Amino acid sequence: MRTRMTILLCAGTGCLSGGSNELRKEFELVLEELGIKDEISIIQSGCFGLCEKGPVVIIYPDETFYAHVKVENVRRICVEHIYKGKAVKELVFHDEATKNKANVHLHELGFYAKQERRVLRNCGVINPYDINEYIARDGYKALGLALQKKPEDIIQTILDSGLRGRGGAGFPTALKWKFCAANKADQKYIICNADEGDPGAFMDRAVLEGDPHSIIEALAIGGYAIGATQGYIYVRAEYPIAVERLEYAIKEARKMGLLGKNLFNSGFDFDVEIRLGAGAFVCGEETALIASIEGGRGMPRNKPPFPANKGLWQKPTVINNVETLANIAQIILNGPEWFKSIGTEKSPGTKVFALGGKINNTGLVEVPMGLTLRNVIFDIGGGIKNGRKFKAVQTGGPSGGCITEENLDTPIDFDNLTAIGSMMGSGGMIVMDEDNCMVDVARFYLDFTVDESCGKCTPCREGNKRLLEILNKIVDGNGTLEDLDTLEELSLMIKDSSLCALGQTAPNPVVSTLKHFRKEYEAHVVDKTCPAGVCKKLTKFFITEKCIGCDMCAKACPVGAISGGKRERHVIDQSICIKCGSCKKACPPKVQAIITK
Amino acid sequence: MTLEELEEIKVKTLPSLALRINETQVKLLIGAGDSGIHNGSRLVLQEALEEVYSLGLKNVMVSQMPEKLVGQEVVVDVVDEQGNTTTYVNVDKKGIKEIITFHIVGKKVVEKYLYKEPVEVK
Repeated sequence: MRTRMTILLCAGTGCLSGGSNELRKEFELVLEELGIKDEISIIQSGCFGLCEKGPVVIIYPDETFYAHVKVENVRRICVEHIYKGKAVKELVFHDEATKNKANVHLHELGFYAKQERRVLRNCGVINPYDINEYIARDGYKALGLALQKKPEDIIQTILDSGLRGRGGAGFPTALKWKFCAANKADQKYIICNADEGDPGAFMDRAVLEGDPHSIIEALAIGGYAIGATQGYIYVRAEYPIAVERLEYAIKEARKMGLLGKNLFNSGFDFDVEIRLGAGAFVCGEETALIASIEGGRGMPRNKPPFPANKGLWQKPTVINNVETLANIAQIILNGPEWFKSIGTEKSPGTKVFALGGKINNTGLVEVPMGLTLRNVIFDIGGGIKNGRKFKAVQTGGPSGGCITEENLDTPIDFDNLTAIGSMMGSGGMIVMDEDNCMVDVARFYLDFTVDESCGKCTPCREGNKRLLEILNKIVDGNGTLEDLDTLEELSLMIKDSSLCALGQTAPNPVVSTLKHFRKEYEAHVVDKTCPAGVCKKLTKFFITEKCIGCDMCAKACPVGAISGGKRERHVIDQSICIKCGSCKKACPPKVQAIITK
Repeated sequence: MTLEELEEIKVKTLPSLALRINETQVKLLIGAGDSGIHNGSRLVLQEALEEVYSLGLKNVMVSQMPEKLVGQEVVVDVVDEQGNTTTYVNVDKKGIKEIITFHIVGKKVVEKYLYKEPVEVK
């Protein structure tokens, strides 16, 4: 019997933790009961991107997108849609772009309509455990074609494409390859940097989980271009699904002769091994990563010598980020002009962002460079949650800065984001609304970098700790105006004198929040209040005259600090209140009687 | 491994992947629902899949649709590249073969099964 339908279950980390495996079992069971198991295939793929709506199920060829699917919904989808042909309207995901339509197709969703999925082209389409499906999408063809050319021609193609490293700094990929290729050595290495450590970033994880062969193929192409016969994938152990799929993919590739000796009868040998990182943020830095692979402590060293001259085991080494590598095979297959056909002049191609924070469509998006932040946050991301007001967006993770409303129409590329005081980084994008305290945000990021500092250089080890102490002092209500000047002065010193990018960029969240939200800092140190009501020691909750006496807040209060009769204005006993904010959340949205001062 | 071998694997694997890669232009929708299934829509569906596969029609998507025109099952809609829909009724296994051969391949409407709007009697 011929397969007429495919049930695609997202098996990215988000959807798996939401019960994707249980859904698969239930689908198998119900299809068996209905007697249609043979005509329906079930595939578990990599991340679809719309993680907020997980677990996600897509029915092909209809392209029907089911969101938040629970085990108890499976029978209904099987009977009504798969057996009888009518999509279950109540379970189909509707967004702003499609809210009035009865049957919504994947490509019509606002979330996908403005995306250009090149890096993520196979994520959510192929089964990552099936090498044949990758090959069916022209997988390993680029490697076969590359091995027919001279290594310098491959580098020239990448150079012509203008591909810049997607790990953060945006250094031209082909230049790294060129420098390494120019060095003569008995052994060279190419490393995939999959040590994705920014809080809230999961772009690389999605590629590794959904399309592992694209990285293996790109490593082989890069290895051939620079003259390396050994590749490494340095991936953090906190990504167990990615590691499992990579291991499986490497085995499959070896079995089919796509890794190993004499690839495509070219005489070129290449193999890949995985090295697990223990999750240290600093190991994303090239020299620290190399030290970690060599078995040493993950600590950066001075550059030069650059890894392209003296890298792993003192041999010439190229280190490329996951997303950078995921572009390589596509450029070889489609040519540099195709790659440059979208994006901006200095930053061609696409960029994957992990949208997070106070945004409706949390998830993974791939957009052409040059799209504005407003497009990404409001058109694709669906705007701010619960109709709240946009306040800022943090790009570049703990190394980046916040961008405010006035710069939302800036076209996204490496240079523009740097010009407005932030950076591209690896692609984390955390959206904040009016309920976020910017002092607390800066404190959060600094708390992270202080924890992650390797301690080798004094400015980073001691300086960032002092910055954090001052921020803690401010959020505790003990800050002074002089502290703000000290923050600025110290930040500049740390940026100028730290050894590696971690220290050099760690003060960025402080610098940018001070620049854009100085009044909020001043409210903390002068008025001793937190306007957003986040910093507990500076916040008091009050019930205004808008109170309708519904008693919802009193019921929600865990310590019984709220009292008041029915239909009477309630009162909070400040001596009992623990400032948890439960009352504010419980107050009906139409009333909003609880304020913070 | 050679490039030719890769191509062979691609050709062999593409049909199972085709359902997921939306490059189809013509839709062939078989009316299902309780009454459609009761009147043989599942047989028509399987016949349609076999025929499309054996003719190698890569731009045709075969799927189901909710029941309509009850009493005239099996109902089949052909939606062309421009989104124009042609509805056929009382289609059986033989009929679906004719629709695929003459309408989808030959671009000619099959009058025998064509649904005609009932004429209002005054």
